[in-house]
Amino acid sequence: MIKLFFILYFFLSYSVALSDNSASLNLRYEPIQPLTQPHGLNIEKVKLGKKLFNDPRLSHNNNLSCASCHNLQTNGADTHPLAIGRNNITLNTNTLTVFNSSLNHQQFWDGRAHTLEQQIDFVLHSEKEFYSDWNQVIDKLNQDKTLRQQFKKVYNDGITANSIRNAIATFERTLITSNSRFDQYLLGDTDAINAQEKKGYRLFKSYGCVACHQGKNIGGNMFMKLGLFGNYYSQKNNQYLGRYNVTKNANDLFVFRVPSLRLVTLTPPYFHDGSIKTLTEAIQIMAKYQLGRSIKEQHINDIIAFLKTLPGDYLGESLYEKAHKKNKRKQ
Amino acid sequence: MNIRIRYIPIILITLLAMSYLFVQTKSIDINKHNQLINHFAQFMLIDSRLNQNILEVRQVILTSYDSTVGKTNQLHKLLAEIKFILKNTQPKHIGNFTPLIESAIKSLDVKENNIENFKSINSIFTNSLRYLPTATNQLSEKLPLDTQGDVVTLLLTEQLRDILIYNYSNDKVILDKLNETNKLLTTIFKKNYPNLLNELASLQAHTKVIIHNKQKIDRVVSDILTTPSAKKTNDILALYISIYNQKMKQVNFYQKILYSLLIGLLLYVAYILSRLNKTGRILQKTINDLKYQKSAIDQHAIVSILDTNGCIQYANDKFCHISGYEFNELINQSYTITKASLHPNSADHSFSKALTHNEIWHGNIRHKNKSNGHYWTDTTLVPFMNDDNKPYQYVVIQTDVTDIFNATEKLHLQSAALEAAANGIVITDKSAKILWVNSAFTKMTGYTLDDTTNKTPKLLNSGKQTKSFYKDMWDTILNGQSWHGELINKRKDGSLYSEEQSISPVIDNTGKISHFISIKHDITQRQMIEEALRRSQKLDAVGQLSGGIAHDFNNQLGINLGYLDLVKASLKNEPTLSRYIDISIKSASRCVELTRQLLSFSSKHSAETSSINLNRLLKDQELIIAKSITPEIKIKYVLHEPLWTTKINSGDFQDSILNTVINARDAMGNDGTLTLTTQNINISTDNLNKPAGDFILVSITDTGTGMDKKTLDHIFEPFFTTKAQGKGTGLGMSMVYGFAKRSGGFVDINSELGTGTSINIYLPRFISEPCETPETNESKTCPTGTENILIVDDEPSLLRLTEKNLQSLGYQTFLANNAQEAIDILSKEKNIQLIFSDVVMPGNMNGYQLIKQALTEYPNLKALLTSGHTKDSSQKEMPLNFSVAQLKKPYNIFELATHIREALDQD
Repeated sequence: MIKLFFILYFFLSYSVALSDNSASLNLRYEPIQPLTQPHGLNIEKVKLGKKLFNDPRLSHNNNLSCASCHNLQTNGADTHPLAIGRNNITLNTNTLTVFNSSLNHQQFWDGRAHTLEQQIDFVLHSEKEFYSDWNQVIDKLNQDKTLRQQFKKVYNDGITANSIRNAIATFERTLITSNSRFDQYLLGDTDAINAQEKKGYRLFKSYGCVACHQGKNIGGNMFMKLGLFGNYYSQKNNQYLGRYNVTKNANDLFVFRVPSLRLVTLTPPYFHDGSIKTLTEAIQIMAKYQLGRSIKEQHINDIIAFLKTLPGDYLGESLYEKAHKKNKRKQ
Repeated sequence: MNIRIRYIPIILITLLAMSYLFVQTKSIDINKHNQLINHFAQFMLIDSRLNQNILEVRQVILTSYDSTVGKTNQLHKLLAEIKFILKNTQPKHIGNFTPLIESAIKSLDVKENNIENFKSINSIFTNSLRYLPTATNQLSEKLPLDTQGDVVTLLLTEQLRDILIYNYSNDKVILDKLNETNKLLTTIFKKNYPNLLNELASLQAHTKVIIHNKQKIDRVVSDILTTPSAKKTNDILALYISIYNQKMKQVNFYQKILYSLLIGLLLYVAYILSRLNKTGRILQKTINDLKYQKSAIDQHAIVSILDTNGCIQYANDKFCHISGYEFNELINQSYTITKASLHPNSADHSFSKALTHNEIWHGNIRHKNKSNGHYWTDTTLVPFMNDDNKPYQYVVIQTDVTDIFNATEKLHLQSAALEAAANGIVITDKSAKILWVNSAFTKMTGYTLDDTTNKTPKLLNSGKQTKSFYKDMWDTILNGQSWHGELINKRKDGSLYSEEQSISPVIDNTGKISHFISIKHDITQRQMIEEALRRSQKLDAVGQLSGGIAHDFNNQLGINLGYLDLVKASLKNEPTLSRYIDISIKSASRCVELTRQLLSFSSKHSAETSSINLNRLLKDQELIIAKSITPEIKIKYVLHEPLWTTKINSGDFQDSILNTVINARDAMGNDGTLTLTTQNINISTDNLNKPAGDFILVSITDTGTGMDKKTLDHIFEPFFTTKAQGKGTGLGMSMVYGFAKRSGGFVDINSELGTGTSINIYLPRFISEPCETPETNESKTCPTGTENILIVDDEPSLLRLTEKNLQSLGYQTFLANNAQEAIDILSKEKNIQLIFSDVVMPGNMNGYQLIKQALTEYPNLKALLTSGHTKDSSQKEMPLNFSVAQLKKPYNIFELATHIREALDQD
């Protein structure tokens, strides 16, 4: 009996030690970390949030919903260089994807919202977007008996601004595109990505891209001035002032929240103003103005190959493959 | 009860105080407190983690900023929650907290900005630092391989080395050197390698970024680590803790009081419980006592409980027993089930009034039991009141007093009897003080009960008795014995009277004399009766005397008549002599009649009744009546024929007539008419004053003075007389009354003053064969015989007369002078068929004894007795079971012949 116990003990401890050696040690020092599905969220709230996410009653004219710009069927964003609000009004910035947005340390390009909940208020009240207010929205929603009952089931207060915000935010927190090939690689599947993609990742790190694009979301957790090496704006007409709009601090001129690169291959055009159409161009600009150097074209391709391994799955379907199929159909 | 009432307010105040203290101790919400402390701890933890993460990032231990994401948001949230909780739990102190919290929030904002700055700077800095060796190497490779090139390469390498060192230090010398090297390199490149100037500029740009951001990054990191957000939060905590401790102190104090009150309360509860236990025991004992009391009451009394409607809710065994009802028959019945409705209405009324007025009622009630018998109870009704002073039930306790009531009734009767007694009764105490006298006493002495109060019987003392008489009396009764005696006492009016007195001592429970009861009998009247008796006895003696004389006289008359008969027979042929003889016989016969009446009077005590024709009886008495009255008074007989017969004692009748006639004579004096009337009378049932039926009325009417009403009222009372003392006994009319009554009739009197009196004696008709009137011997032929007859008589002339008569009738006769001779003759002459003997004879044997002996010796012998005495008086001497025919003296030949023949023919 004791013998058997010892044999089991040794076997178990050996297998544990083996698994530790193979993956975790590497991951501990990797600047990019795999996405993990959220847990502990109230499924009823998620359902309610999903309903509200698609509910145009949140807008003044009942013609816009969150999903109007953040199309979950594609990439959680639109394809316009600049977002288009109500009555086709063009907004100042490019639409950011709603996928993985819960991982951003602050919301919007200028970080004017600290949380997803706050983010909703800006859109709701914006003249160019929903152009509504909470009383209006609550009145409208309260006329929906089933919705009212659904709210009552989850929130003691029923339909309130807080409960609406919370429901939508809770839903948005589920929009995590985990299980990407790169994440599989990070989690120990060395065959999940090919040699070029691995080379692209190495170049991504060595060129210093990871200085800003790091973490689970590969960006989205810090602010950075656009144009550290040379003035990027000298060549531009659209003069969006970035974080300065929030802080009114001169140091924050042209400072933006670093965008996530998780779905970067699916969300062209690029930059806050959507002015850059291709990744190659975007990478070149980034190297010049942010890194103060140039990247060889071959390396750019390698990096792009790496970036293509980053989109994960939504609702069990690979977003990249979905987009690829779509493109194919278009062709 | 008292304890509770006295201490309830204290307990209430204590409980209130305890509640207040409890609320005070609960004023610190320990959950909120823990939550708050937890928030503070979380804040500190997150804050320090954040600082640590920043340092780790700076040291490239962390390769991403993810760990900082959301941290400041969390800190903000925690601060907001701390503020919220403090606002709720410390509303008094929120004024002190608010500036601290505001300042903490501000400093947190500063920290957040610094962190954002740090991230940006750090990215730029590390990026340039990372690129610098590559850039230096690329530039060095482009330099020509000459001395100058080597020097510049060395210079570039030194610059790289210095930057790397500077990264980990803040050495001003190195910074100065770097700036100098930078200038030197620019000069050399401008002079020697203008084609590489752009390359150098690029390198130097990175160098400048490093140098420029090195100080910035150090400052930012320093700012982050020293940002006072944690300290400010700590201040909030310190303030909170000081307030909390202060409050805690107070709470502890309250708790101490609370606990001591609680202990006090527990002790008091324990005390109450012990008291309760004791009370319980007392209560149990009381209940037991009550149970026993109830059973005692049940044993003694009739108990029932009525509800407010008067319905029986409970009845004990006694109740059931006395009422005769079963328990189940009584329950829920009205109390009137035993109501007899025989006692006075007021008792009924007051009982039902007590039921409605809720008063205690007491009284005696007569009840009816199931079998309609009655019983009396001494009843008490007690209403039981509830807290509203309204009765919820009535308890009725009754005692059976039927026996007492009956006894009282009896006593009442007895007392009435005593009161009504003819004898005077006196009750005295042992010192002879009069307590009570009855009305007979008052009547006797004239003293009323009031007169005798506090007096002794000495007030009756007439002084006629000697002192030794009284001493003897007192000695006797004080010895506990009864005393009897006669004495003369004095009435209230001073007159004297005789009384017979008996004094009995009453012995109480202790055996001592408590009272004396004296019974007095006025013997004045008795003495008068005794006097009358003496007189009547004298009369009786006179009667006896005359009877005796009449007997002898009869015998002589018999002889006389007998021989006159013989003379008459022998003088048939001498008509003149015969006529003389007839007159003589008639005269002698009249003498016989006279003696018979005399004899009849003397034998008045006879109670024998017989069927009688009153007309004949009155005619028989005619002579005596005539002799009883003065010659001046005329007597008139109105005798109706035929008169019905009646069954009476003839002697009593004759006495009654005589008494009445004498009274009439006295009423008339020397002049007047006495009328005797007989008639048949029928009294119909319509006459209410008199009994109905057929009566013979005998009226004696005089023309005397008449009687007044007062005299009429008393006329039949014995010893009532209007005559002068010694003239009358006062017994005459009462005797008449008594006779009529005895005979089944009655007497009424019509009297008018100055006109006269009529005494009417009604005697009932008796329907039977009337006694045949004796026929005259002339009209009959005498029966004859030839038998041998022994004649016994002590009178020789009578003996010889009888012999002659019997021989003339054909009989053979033997003669004996006395009984002995007769026995001797009987023993000699065997063929004697009849012995005819006188009853009264001298010698040892009278007629009865002779006949008895003779009949014993000669069973076939026939016997006939003869006597001069009346039948009744002679029969007194006749032995029992002796039936021999008798012939009354004097008898004529016919009577003799008839009786002899009858005796001989008897079986």
